[in-house]
Parts: sequence; structure tokens; C-alpha cells
Amino acid sequence: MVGIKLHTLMLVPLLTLLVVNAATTVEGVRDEFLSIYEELVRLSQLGINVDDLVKDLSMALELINDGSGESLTKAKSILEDVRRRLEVVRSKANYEVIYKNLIKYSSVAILALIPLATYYLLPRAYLRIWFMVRRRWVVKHGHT
Amino acid sequence: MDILDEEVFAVVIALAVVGSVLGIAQVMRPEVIEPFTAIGLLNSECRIGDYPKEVFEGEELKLCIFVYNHLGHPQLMMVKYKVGSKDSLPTNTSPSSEVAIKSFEYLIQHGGNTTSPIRVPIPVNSDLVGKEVAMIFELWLYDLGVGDWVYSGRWVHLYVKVREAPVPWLRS
Repeated sequence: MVGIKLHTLMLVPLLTLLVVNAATTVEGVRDEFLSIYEELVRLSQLGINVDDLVKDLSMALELINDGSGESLTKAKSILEDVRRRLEVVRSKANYEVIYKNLIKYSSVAILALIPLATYYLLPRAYLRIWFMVRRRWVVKHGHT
Repeated sequence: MDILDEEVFAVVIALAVVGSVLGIAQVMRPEVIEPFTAIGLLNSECRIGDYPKEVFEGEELKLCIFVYNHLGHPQLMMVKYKVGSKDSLPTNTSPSSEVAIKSFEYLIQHGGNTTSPIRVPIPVNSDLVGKEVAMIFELWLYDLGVGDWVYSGRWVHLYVKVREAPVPWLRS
């Protein structure tokens, strides 16, 4: 009887530890998921394409919601991979933002120059074409 | 001699100015002018129509949920399933007062959507038998600023009549 009680007493903290560990793991994975999600949203708002990362993170979410130990392990490994790729994307983010802004404002500048270019270049171009078309013309005296 | 007619030239310049302004507006406009999300309820074959009209208490119903994200960034979304009546339906500003029975989470990129098959239970409750209940699906969004789920103001519901479970053990 005493032996059984002792075994029971030893099992209780062990089971408690296991349950607490499992809970911590789920919470830990979920926290990591949310942390990556927050980063992705921030990068996306800067105009960085994060579609591939979102797809993988979505897979991780499915696995987290599944809740089994195997799924959590898979989810953790996906999250680690996404985190690695996220760091690469983040390191390039500044250059990409500058590049995108450069393209954007260059396009605006070119578009703004179109009326000016039309004003200055159109008469000259038209004149040049006008003369080119008529360069073989021969002027003759005639009677009208 | 005036080679290029002044009036024609003025029209060409006007067209250039209008084209330029439209082009600049197009380049400068934000990618998402009106952000929104959407939720839709589909039948078990993930099609519109042929929804169940009568269900058994305790039955697990197969349906499909469609969610769409047009917020301009990836969004973590949750669909909360509740069972209520016409008096406890959500509004554009507040969710239903009923307790969520089940929830489904999705991470959707901007412009993306998902149609996913779901299984939702009809609660075993003799008070519901013979009555028309509303199966409510609310769309909640994870707000990073708040650090919690926030009701989006969008929901769908389906009225079904609950019938007594044909197998007695379901009524345990």
C-alpha cells in the first residue's frame, strides 16, 4: 500500500511537469508565430513582397492548431526556416524600399516632364519630319 | 507660313498635360484605397446554395467557409462559430453575445482568400429541439496594436431547424 502511494506521489509531479512542458511548448511556438507574423506585416506595409513567407507561416499555423506533438515539432521547424528567410528579407528591405521609391519618383518625374517635352520638342520634331517628307520636292516656276 | 497649326498644337499640349496628370495620379495612388475583408458560407461541397435546413442535435455539420483579405497586408483571421437565435445575431459593430463553440484560424496574404471545409457541431440541448436556430460565423481579426482578436463587423449566419437526435446515446 505504501509502495503504491509512493509511486503515485512520484507520478504526480512527473505528469504535472510533462503537462506544463507541453503547454509551454504550444505557447512558445504560438508566441514565435505571432512574433514572425508581426515582422511580416511590418515588412509588407513597407511594400516588401512576403507572399512566400506568409504561405509557409500559414502552414505552420495549421500545424499549431492541430496541436499534436508531431505537428508542433513540424511547426517549430517551419518557423525556424521562416525566421531565417525573414532575416535575409529584412536585411535587404532598406535597399528594396529605396529602389522602389526611386522607380516611383523617377516615373513621376518622367510623367511630369511629358507636357514640357511636348511643348519644346513637338514643333521641332514636326518641322524636321515636315522637311524630310518634302526634301525631294522641286520648286518650279509655274503659271497658275 | 505656319507649319504646325496653333490650335492643333494647343490641343496636343492639353492632351499631354491631362495624360501626365492621370499617369502621376496612377503612380502615386495607394495600393489599397478601400481596405476590406469578406466572409462567406458555402455548403458541404464548397458551393453556394443547397444549405441544410434541418439538423439533428449533436450532429456535426460539414460546411465550407470562405474568407478574403483586402487590407493591404497579411492578416491573421479567425472565424468564430456560435449558435444563437434571431435575437442574438451580431451587428456591424458588436459580435453575438453567444459563446463561441468552435473557432478556425487562417493567415491570408493581401488579395488572397481561402475556402476551407469545416465541421461544426450542433449542441445537444433539448431546449433547441423543434426551434429554428442561427448558426453564426463571425470574422475576427488579430490586431497587432491591441495584441488581441478584434471583431471585424462581418458575419454570416444560417437558420436551421433542430430535430431530436434519432440515436438515443447522442442525447447523453
